[in-house]
Amino acid sequence: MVESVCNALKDQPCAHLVYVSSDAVYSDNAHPVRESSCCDPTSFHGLMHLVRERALEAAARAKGIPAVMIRPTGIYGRGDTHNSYGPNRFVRTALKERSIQLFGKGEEQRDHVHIEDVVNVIRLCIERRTEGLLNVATGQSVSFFQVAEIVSGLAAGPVKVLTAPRQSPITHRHFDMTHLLRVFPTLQFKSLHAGLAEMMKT
Amino acid sequence: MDPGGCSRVIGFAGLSHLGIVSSVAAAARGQQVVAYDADRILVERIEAGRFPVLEPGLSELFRERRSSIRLSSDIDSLAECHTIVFSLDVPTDSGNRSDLEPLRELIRNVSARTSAETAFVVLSQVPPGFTRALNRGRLFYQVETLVFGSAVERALNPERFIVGCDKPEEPFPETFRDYLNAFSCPILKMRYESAELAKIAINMFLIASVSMTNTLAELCERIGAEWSEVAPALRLDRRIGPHAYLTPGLGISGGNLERDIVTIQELSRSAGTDANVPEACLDNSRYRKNWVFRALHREVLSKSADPVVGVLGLSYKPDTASTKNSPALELIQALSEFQVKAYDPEAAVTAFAGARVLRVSSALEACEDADAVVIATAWREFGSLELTAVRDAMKGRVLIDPFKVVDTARASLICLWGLRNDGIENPDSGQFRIRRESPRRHSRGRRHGRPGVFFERTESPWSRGRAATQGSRSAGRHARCDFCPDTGSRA
Repeated sequence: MVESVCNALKDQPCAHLVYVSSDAVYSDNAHPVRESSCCDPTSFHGLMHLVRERALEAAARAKGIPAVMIRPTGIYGRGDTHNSYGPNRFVRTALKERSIQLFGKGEEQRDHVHIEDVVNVIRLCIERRTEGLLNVATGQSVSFFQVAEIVSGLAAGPVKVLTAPRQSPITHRHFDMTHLLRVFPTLQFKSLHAGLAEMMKT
Repeated sequence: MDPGGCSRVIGFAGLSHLGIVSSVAAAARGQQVVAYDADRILVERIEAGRFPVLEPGLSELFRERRSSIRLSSDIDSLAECHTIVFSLDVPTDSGNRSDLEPLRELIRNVSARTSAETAFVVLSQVPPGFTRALNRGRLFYQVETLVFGSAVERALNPERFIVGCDKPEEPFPETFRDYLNAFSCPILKMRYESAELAKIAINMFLIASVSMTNTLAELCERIGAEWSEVAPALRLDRRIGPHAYLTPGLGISGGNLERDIVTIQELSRSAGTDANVPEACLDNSRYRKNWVFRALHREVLSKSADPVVGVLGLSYKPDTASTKNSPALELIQALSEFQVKAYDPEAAVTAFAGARVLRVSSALEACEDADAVVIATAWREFGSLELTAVRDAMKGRVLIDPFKVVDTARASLICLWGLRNDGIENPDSGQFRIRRESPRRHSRGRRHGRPGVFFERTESPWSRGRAATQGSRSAGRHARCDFCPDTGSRA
């Protein structure tokens, strides 16, 4: 896919290039995660994004096209069809099964960013023709247990939060969001509680 | 007394900060001094007692010892000195790299007008290898330990002299020996390179202390510890000591420490030794410098439409007019989309590209109609501000005081929000029970309603943010990693 886009850029340069990548490009050991953190993806997903970033950067540079690579952390929000571990799945199972299954006791801390906040950053990038690299996260990491507790608390009836024997070591991910805030100093993020409350209404 | 007729005449070439303070201190210790700088206007200003630097006690000491100091912009005035100290501060660029050419030129010019018998002492900030490369007899390197704001005291009462020599086993020339002995402190003689590195080594240990203090102070916030309780335990440890740098701050600034990190990085790369620790310290400093901006963003910028921010203090620390790598200036640059009112007792506000900065003439004026006020430099006068007047002048209630300048209890009593970098609660962690409300705009009639108060410990410093610096950072840190990108973004 990206090869076709790069070829298209050669023939028909555009005014601005925005690529939505992923924080999966970073090493699992990056702490806190910043735009300058080492990229060493441990998944094919992360590797794919990194290769795409490089290819698109090169194509854009060759044509003098301003380009920005956006690396959001875990996105959640209403209507998300993904069912990966975290807010989306927790809301879904809380509503349908009245339970939330955690890995271990849900100790891992992650940053969860609402889809509207990601879209807002993309909009600002387009409006200002932003260049470079931007992580998109809130800067506030919480444990999966805390997410489950919020979801459980928002549910109309009782929701069981289930734990399971841990299969792998606990890892955390925190972001230093200084760079994004300096680029867009008026940026605001939806609180996790407010974002989850919206999802629970649907 | 004619300085030229005395065997104890010592010359100082280069009257920047280092030269002014060192020459006056030498006179105070009984030396006859010739103080030279090619800048005639500068010399005339100093003769009139108007110094281009701010140092407590300097003017008084100069007046007291005026008869022992002969100021001159004539280079030939140095010809009569038996020892000449090169005391020109070495400037650094925006990347904290030294520009040694002005010093080299000064040495060349003085050499051309003095005999080979005259002892030369390099006091300027030079990297290892500089002095030996001058390839001159009767040449010494002396470590300077000038500290802005307390330079006179340190120059008068040095802890020790560290002197680099071509042949450490040989005695000093008489004039230089008399000069050193006048200060009654230990004298450490060593090779040029050892002395040059010793100067940097002192600063690197200070940097390590600062960085570790900041790292641990931030951790204290997150786990419910109190750094002010931890620090005394460290000071009583003989391996750390009572004077260790254990006060949390906003990273490394001023220029000299940063220069030494760059020097060590370059030397390490050249020599093939590990330089990850200095790089980590620099990274930590960048992170720390952003603490105020992040706190401001969280409490004000993300909540108020077109907020006004008052910034009290611009210099990188109190009792100096220097703004080199000052956290305040970096903050102001980050606030380029907002209106800023800035005040400093001594430092000048220079031009900020794109920033809406208004220089005002008093601290209280900077607070007028401000949604938030940041005490960015711990000048003493800010500690004696009448907080009720500050509150009444402000539109909002957020007072950010990273250096604990104001009375916390008093500020909270009169309903100012206190944010500072060593507090007892962390509103973000969710781990501690806290009393907090969102800061809100109070109409003047509602000001005396009591808002929640919280104090917060420092998180971090500041990446330079823009493409070039971020890129070089990345390259330096992960030089072997093909995946590390140029990370800068600009809007």
